[in-house]
Amino acid sequence: MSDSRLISLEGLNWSYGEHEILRSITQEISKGCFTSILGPNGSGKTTMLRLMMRILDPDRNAVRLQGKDIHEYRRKDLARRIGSVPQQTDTSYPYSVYEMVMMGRYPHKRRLESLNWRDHEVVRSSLKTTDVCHLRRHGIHEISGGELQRVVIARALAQEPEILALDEPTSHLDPHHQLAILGLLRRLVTEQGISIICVLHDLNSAMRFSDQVMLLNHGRIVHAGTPEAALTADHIHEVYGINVKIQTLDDGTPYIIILGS
Amino acid sequence: MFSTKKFAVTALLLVILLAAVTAVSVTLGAASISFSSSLRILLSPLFPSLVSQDIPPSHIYIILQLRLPRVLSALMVGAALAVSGTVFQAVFKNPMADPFILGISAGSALGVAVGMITGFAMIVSSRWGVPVFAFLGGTGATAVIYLLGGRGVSSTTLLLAGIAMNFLLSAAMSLLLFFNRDSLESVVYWNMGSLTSSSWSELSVIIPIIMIGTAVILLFSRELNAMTLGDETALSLGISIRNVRIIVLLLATLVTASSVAISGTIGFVGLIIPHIMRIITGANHRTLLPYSAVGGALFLMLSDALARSVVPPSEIPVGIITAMAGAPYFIYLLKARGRHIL
Repeated sequence: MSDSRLISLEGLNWSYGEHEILRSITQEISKGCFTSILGPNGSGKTTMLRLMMRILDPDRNAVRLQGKDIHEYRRKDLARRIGSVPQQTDTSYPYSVYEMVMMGRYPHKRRLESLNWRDHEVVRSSLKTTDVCHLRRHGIHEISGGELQRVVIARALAQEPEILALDEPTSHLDPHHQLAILGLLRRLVTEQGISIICVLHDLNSAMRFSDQVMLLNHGRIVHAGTPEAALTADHIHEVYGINVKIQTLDDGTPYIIILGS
Repeated sequence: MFSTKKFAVTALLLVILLAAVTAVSVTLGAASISFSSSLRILLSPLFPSLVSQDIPPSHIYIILQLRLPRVLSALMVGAALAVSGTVFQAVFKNPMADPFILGISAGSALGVAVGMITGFAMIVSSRWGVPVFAFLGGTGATAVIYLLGGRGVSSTTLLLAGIAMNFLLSAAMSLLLFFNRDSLESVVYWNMGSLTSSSWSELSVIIPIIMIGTAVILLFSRELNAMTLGDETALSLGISIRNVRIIVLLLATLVTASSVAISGTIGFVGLIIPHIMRIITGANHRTLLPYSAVGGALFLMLSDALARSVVPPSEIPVGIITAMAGAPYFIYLLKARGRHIL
């Protein structure tokens, strides 16, 4: 088994009742990469991400993590390998930022085991990585959306995961915060070797920040590969039904300009 | 963020406060027994020399056999209701969930009524039979609410389910009493929410159940914390939410049912206490649960003291006092819902 295999999807299906969401998806996700999942609304992106973390239960052997069926892992073991940043975080309970991030240590703790200096150490370094140390005493209901997103990422990092799974982490943020979050994720890949799987909406963000792209349409992966190979004008037209032009910026990154439908 | 030391100090202060309120409550009542002799009688099981000839035996009986069990049951029932309220609010992610509003208390009460009328509750002994039937009835009600609200339905749906449940159970109770008129008085009187009939023999069963139940719930604080952030977050933190939900709901039902078994249905303690405690200590269940227990105990002991002293020599059911404090608070919560209410 090659070392670079992280998650393998082998004929992954999912449906809600009669409604088919994902149809026999087969795909390898490699280790140490920033992998983006793209596609129109309702194409099955979030469902795919949830199946990869077993928030939804896939069929046996349809999702394999490091070569083993995901059902063979206990939920706690899974939580030590995959940190998650869901689309929504309920902030109606007034936890402090520090308490919230400390929840990322739960998968490492047995029931009667109390928190020790190492847990505090990991929490502090996660807060530092995501640049929210100064907010640690604030309530999670008192901070802005961009700050909350960083806090949730810090919690996922406190799980000390090999994989970080994020569902549209930038969707409610202004351009400045979008850029900051994506830059942070990119650094996690290059500096800490964390593999990132991220549902994104913005084509240019995916183009600029990811190593691998999966383009979904009607529950199938229609194109996958490097951003340049997967996100061509033809492919974008085929999936989204819009006309685009791709230009190369001064720094060499391709930039997608939307012309019309 | 509580440091362990600060937590220990606060906990010690609260225990002293609880002991003080217990001591003062014991001196209140129809028979006028001075504070100092009450205190001496109260400590006499530990220091027999404190009770000398000047204290009449009737006073010793009143303090140790009538008032102390009553004050202790106020303490236990208050703690139990506040702890289970905290659990219901966390599991249903709803600040207005409470064993009384959701109909769990009414379910336990109906269980007890069935047990009393059929006589099954008296087969072994009533001190065991009554809590067992309360638990059976409460579990039935919790199961229905769980099936309706377990998937995180909206607050409104959950509250409506609770209202429907209360209507249904009160109709069932009325029907039961209609066909068993001879039991009417004892059941109605017990169900009114009163601590008057508490005795040591009942407490000897109820106190361990409530304390053990609460202790086990406390072991699930981390799970409760994670679950209040949403199912997806809880799952991704490695928590098997289905199992945890069922376990903690059963524990909360057990604790509620035990309180109903000694005091009938007392409302609103489980609603307002966790809410106030979250404002004071924050949401972390590790601290919130013990604080709620103490807060609920203090609240019910004070309510009971009030119930005994406003119209002497008679007394009003303590449920009336808690409802008068709790119902306006509930209305305030309803009005504040648009804003941030936790």
